[in-house]
Amino acid sequence: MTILPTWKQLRSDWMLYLFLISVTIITFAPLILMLNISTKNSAQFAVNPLGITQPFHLQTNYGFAMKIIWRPALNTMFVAGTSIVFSIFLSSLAAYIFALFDFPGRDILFWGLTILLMVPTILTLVPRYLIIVDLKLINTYWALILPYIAQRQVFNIFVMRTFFRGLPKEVLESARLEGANNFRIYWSMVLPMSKPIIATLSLLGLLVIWNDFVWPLVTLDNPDLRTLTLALYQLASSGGAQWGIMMAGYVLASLPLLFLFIIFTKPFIEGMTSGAIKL
Amino acid sequence: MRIWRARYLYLFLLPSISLLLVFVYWPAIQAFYRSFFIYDGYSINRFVGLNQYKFVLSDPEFHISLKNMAIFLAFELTLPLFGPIIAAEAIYNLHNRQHQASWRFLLIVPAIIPALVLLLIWQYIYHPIGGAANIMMKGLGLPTQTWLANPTLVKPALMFTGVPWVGGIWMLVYLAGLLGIPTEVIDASIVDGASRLRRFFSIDLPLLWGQIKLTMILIIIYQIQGFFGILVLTDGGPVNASLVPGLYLYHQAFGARASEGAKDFGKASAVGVILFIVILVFSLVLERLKRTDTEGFSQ
Repeated sequence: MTILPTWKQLRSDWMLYLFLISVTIITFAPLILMLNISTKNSAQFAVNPLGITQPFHLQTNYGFAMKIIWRPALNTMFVAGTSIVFSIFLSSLAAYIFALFDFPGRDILFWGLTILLMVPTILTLVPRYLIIVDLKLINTYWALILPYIAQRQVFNIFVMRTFFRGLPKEVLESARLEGANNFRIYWSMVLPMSKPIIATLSLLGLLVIWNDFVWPLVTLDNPDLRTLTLALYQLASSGGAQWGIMMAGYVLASLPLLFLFIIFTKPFIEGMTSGAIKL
Repeated sequence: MRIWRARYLYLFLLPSISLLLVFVYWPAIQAFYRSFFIYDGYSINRFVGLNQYKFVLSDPEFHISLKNMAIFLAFELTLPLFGPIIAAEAIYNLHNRQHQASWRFLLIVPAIIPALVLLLIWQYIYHPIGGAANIMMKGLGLPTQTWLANPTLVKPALMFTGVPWVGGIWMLVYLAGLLGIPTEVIDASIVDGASRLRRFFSIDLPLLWGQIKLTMILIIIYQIQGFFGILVLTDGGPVNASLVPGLYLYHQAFGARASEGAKDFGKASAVGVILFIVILVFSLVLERLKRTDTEGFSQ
């Protein structure tokens, strides 16, 4: 376990190292800027926005940001969690049926799904909003959750169908011969064998939902329900240029995904590289 | 009979399909229907035939948004398209395995930070007073700028928020593609005395072509319809210098600047249909290109 490259590696790869180190510095510069400013009070920011200033005002800035962020963060977690669990469950079931069964209408139904890949979200944005209005779901969690479940499904079904088709048929067949019914095979064989792809799709879905801004912006204006992105946006446009507090809020909003990703790096990368995600 | 035997299968598909019907199929159909009406969401709902299309297609503001979109799209197909490939190549060619894994991890981090957070950091960087960009300009002895409020600088400034254009999910996809190249192929090329650069063009690129094509299609689709970053940073301004079609649609439906008048969901729907057709044409053309190009590459 060495952190440094050996001389031999350095001699042959020095250009690669130079390139990678420079892009890494550029990549992280804005994040370091954010962390640094999140320690400053207004006076420190006014005098020296970029340098390191002492003392750090962590408690004030992060405490204040936390007060603004915690409720929206819980809202986003609830919405994202519910949407992902249901969309993975429903789409894995559908993908299982499409991948491993032959029944009348299968090809038509699947063709119908393929068509949806051609439907851009910009086409459906306004009518989807009007449907939410008609269903009286404006300013409810459902305004987010139901469309998220529906929309995530399309991609999920495609990827999981490809993945399920690659599962060893003999194993599933022998379970059937031993008397397991279809749902049991799905639940206790197909799902456990698909953990990496489920991890990947959940994380990708989480990224999309966590980042979504436009849809909550048009469907929610109740401050109690607003999502993290709406809260950050309002924090940023609240004026007063309390940069320290704003940056502290941005840091807090970034942490949950970062933790999740660090925990799930391995299955996520396994799933990304399993070959099912290609379209 | 066969349908009856498969009844449980349909039952299991039902929740999935009904959600798709309500929140994807139905809105898609509605978009076409609504585009023939003036509809403000309350009282006015009048059939106007093709007038909405006529209005949008002859609206100078829409023309500006298309032109801006073309400029952004042209840029996105350069560095942002090829950066992740170069980064993946750099990581793939490291002899130190452990460093491969660490850099793969490091360069994904920006994809894990919420996109809005990154945008808001750039909002700070471009802030005229106390923003990092102007501090750097002063440090270099250059005049300070208003960046996002300057009609000539706003587009480059927005493009620059992607710097250094290497990271993210795409780098991961390309790296997976490179790692999937059979070692025999590479060994054979080394035996044949092919240089690293030669290997890149005649082995790596053709084998990554599937992923590159997919990235291209997704970049194009996103650039035609996307507007989230611009909505956050400039709302299309100053004087429409960063207006894109998606944002134009958003303004029609949900109003933007307080000065703007009544909403018109009909007009917004017409814009949606137009953008859908543009995306469809691009996808079909690319689908064509992809075949001939793959042949060209493999020769």
